Amino acid sequence: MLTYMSRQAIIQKHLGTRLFKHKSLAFQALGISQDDTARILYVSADVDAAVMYPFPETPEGERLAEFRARLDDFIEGAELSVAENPCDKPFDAMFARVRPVEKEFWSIRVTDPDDTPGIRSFGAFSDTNEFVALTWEMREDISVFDEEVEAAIAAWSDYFGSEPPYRGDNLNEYLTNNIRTV
Amino acid sequence: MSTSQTTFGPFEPVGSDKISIAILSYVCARNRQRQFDLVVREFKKSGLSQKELADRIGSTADVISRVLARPRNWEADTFARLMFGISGAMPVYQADYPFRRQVVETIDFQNKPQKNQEDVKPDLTTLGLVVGSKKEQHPKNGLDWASQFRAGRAA
Repeated sequence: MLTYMSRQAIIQKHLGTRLFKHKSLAFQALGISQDDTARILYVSADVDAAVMYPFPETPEGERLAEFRARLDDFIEGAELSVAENPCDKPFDAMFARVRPVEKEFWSIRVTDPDDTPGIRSFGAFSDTNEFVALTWEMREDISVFDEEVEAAIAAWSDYFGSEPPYRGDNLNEYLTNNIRTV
Repeated sequence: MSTSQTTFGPFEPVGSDKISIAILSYVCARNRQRQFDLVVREFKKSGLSQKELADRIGSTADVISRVLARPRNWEADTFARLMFGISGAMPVYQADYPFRRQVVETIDFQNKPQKNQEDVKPDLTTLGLVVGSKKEQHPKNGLDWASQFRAGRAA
């Protein structure tokens, strides 16, 4: 029997096992909850493991720490430069839509430290100001970008079944505050 | 009567112990974002164009465009020029200890300590996230800040 479940119900079903509500490092370190944040970010177990303290004491660990900082800044409502056109974006846009546009997938783009290719994390919105980060890769390990997007789309289906990502009519319906289109 | 006790999180520097390079990267990244947030919000508020700002501080629109694209490791002077150039502002610095936990214990007349749960919070002063015991001392307490932000979806 086909049962309709909303995105929110599906998130609740996976929460704590396959999806985790991201909280900042300070709250994690002190072992306390962080219920009310400016934006909500759910992460897959894969993303959660990547940004979990302690980070390796290596250059890769530094990059993962930068990734963690970006996710922490996201939930705390930091300023974001957002590129809506996947085919024409500055190399250092912080958040960008990816092809195919109609699939409603986006990437969190970590381009620091400056001397590294950075990290990309892919996911989709589950509501306004509410993002689900499903996959991530070191940028230099991405040989075919479209395949990474396909992997994120497949991950979404694995979690959400036939329920599609949230779709907004304009950028302000995805992120309401502290954004700048680039 | 109340007493406070501070618990230090796992990232607090201790003696001459080497701090994790990854934690230093994390702290630097978040600091860059805080500077960036301040500059971008002043810039948006000012209504200036990138060209006008460039003219004010003797730069070019291309450089300003790059500066405003994402957080970077700005020199202190770059940060100061941007802030002053945009709105005549100078940043105010305040130390923040996000990885410490302050527990305030209230002692009643029978000398029974009672932990005040509202006071068990990290200190996030610089982010404008002060909560618990300092809630009334700061104009932007955490819950109000987040609520106002998310209320933007209705606006």
